Amino acid sequence: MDHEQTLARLESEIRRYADDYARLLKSKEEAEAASQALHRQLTSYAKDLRAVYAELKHQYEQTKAAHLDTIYRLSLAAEYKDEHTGQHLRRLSRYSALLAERVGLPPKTVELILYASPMHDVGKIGIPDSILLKPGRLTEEEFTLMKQHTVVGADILAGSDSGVIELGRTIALHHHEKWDGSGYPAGLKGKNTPLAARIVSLVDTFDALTSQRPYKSAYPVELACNIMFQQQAQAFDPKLVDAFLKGLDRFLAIRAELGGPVAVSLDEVRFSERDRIAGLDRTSTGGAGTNGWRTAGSAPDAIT
Amino acid sequence: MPKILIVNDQEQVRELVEVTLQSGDYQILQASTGQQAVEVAKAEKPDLILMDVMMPGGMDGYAATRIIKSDPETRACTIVMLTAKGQQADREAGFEAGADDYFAKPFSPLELIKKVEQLLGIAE
Repeated sequence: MDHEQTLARLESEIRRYADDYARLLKSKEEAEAASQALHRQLTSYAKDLRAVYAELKHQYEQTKAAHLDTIYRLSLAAEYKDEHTGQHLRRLSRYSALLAERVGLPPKTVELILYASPMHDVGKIGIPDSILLKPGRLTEEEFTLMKQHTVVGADILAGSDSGVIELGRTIALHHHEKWDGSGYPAGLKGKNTPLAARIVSLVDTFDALTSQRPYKSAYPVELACNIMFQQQAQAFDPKLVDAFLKGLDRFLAIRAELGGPVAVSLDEVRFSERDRIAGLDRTSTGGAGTNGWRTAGSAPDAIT
Repeated sequence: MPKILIVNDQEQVRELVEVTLQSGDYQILQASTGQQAVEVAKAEKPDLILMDVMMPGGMDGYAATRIIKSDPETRACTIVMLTAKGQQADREAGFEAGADDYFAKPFSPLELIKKVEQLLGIAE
């Protein structure tokens, strides 16, 4: 009898254990299922986050492109009176970025200079047409007014939160400063002129020399380089001149790509009055090797 | 401000949905059982109810939907059933119980926001 009672008790206890175990197993399965469902739900959130991020990034790129395009078109508007095609701005922008790259500036700064440099002459909008479009030499008085385009440009661009426009302001204000301090408007000397403005000053001069103007023909590249080499101590940062001349082939490639103006041959060059007064028509046409940059050991890799 | 009631037994999911819908101008209510959903619906008259199907405690999402949709006081609530992906039977059961729409789990938060805006008539 005792035996049977013990057996029956054991049996019922085992049954209870089995029930508990089954319940435990089931609740564990349910918990696992719930956890998996939650995991899938979180994965879905991560996917959406990625989509939202990609969309925002796309919108940012579009907004940035629109911002830069607007700046460029306003720069074009200011340039339109004396240059209709915008070719000068396009070349100057690419030259500036290339020179910035060649003197080792970081890519972000190079990009900033690419987009800020076209603003250098926006102040021309405030210069009377009679001066801006005058063929031939300006009188002292007219030149004083002409110089104001730097200050006017800086005023137009002042106080912006945009880094590009702020750099544009700096460039507009100082792109006529000279290395020896004889430039305008502030007469800054050497490295006191911000690097971006020194860069634009150099490539702006190069493009002006190699472009046709109402008062001069497009100088051949060699002549332009000779003139710039001779002026380097006076007008330009010698290190920039060196970097420019050493990489000349790449600047010329940009010029070719953007359809640069065709230069006349040396004997047919019509000099500007200023360059004639400076005697460049006599000293610079002797060809390479007489007194030019080629003999000074800073010859470019190649000349196309 | 539209009122939205989230019915789900998992607290983490309720929180996720609430945080997701906070991008809009809504008053968010929560219920963790079918019974509670019926009570909150009667007391608060939400504009929209996001109803989960499987809930413990004797009253699942279908049963709660049936009660809310048969009560003249709460009938106007728009009810969206949250059903597991690909479960056609669940969807049909939901519509039979009176649900206005369904939404597949796991749900995309962006689509949930869109769906809610669309049902509340504030979609762009």
